[in-house]
Amino acid sequence: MVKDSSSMSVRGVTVAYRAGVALKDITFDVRPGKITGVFGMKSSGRSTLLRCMAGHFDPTLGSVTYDHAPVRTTKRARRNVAYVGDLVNSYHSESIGRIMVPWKSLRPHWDETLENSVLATFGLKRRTRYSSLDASSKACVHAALGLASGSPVTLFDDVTPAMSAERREQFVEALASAHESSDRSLVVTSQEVDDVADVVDDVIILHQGSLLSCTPAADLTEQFGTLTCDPSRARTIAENCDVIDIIGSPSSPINVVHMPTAIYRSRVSANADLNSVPLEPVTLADAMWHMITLHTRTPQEGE
Amino acid sequence: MMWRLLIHSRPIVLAFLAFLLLTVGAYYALAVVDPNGEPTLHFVVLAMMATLPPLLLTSGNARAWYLAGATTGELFRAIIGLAALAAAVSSVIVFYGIPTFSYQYNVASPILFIARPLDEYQGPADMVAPLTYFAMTFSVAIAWSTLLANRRIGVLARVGGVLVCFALYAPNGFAGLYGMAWPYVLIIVTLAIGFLVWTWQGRDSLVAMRHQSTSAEPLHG
Repeated sequence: MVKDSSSMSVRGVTVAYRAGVALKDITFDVRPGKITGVFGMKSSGRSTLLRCMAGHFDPTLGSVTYDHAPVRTTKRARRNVAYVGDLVNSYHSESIGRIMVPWKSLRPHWDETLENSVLATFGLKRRTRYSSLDASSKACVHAALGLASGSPVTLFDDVTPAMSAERREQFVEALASAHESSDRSLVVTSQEVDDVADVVDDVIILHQGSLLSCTPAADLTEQFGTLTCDPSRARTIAENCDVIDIIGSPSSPINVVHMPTAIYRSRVSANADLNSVPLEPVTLADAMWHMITLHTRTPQEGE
Repeated sequence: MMWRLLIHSRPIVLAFLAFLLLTVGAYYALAVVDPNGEPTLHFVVLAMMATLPPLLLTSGNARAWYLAGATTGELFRAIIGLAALAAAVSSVIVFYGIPTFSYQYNVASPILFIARPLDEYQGPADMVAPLTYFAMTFSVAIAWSTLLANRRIGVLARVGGVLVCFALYAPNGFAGLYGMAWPYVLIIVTLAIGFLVWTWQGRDSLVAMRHQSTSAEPLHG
């Protein structure tokens, strides 16, 4: 099993294409031995960030290091940082077994036991040609490569969206199992937070190339809460403080008010008329959307 | 590393052998169809071209190998090795495997040259043609494999490579250059071009290939 506590650091990374800037001054550390979820809307920069972390290209500005060495040019980093995503499609003419051969040779932590179990879990046969697989099965091949690689840092780029619901659950279980049995740092991107919400320890939220949040998942969800109350009370609360959203119409029997925990504590709980309404936790997906909503509401520099 | 990648890329080896066989077949086919033509010219160009499909496949597979954990340096060494291997096999076939070519132009094959008794040694010119051919093929193969990795100039490289082949071989034929100073110039020039392409384009091209493929796709992240 992998026992490598080397860390990956992203420092001031900016990636600019001719069409625009994909990432703006991103800085964070991947905590060793944790599962990190990188979330964001379409075109938020998730895949660009992961490819940059994998060393597929140098950032326009900033640096990505593994164990204090540049990830793109250091052999140890190349061997220990694995990326799986759509790019694996370049193997289209090979069988699953042959796709895995170079990985087995080049990945020092390759785990054959895990390889066998993951292939069995996903119902994949080594002799099956990659090009003959449907999108869900191809995504499972990507996931199997990443999991079996045993790499101390493994980056899964949008692996789950193409998977069927059943396989998605299997992948999350395998991810959690791989994490429990080793000290690997696993980074997972997805547009759908719910896919992996149950297993992530840390959360990175990107929006239009900017880093909105990098925090433990529990800390993120604690920043927001919901109040379930009748419509008139919901409107009263909305008039007194900055809520994020009210779910439900005035004619509905109940409304759900989403708001930042800090505002609840300073405005609602301090108000004798409102403090009888308890604050309930939000899901990780809701917390991400609230973070993005607050960011888009806040006037940005230069606007 | 090169051998490991080669072993893992059975299609590349098979493609290489298949194209060489096709080239030899094409040579004899041309000789039958057009006995009074210039089959040697056709063959030389075809043989040189035969080294390219496997290199093209290598360039394509480079991305897969990179994802599997290879460094750009390892990939480039693999491509250099493959280019040398392809050029060597191609050279041996041209100068030793095709008897008519050797007899017609009185070119000693490298193997015969090495095995020749010392008193029959006729000077370094014996080796000029095979070495020139090897240098040409090696340089063009490197140029192809590295330039193909860069999409933007890949098309120009392909067209340019073919034109260079014809420009060098067509006017007088390969034999017209034999025994003159030109082969030495060609060796130096082609090796220089190969070296320049290697250092200038090589490593960065492999990365640029992936970078361009990234930027060419709509950002889905």
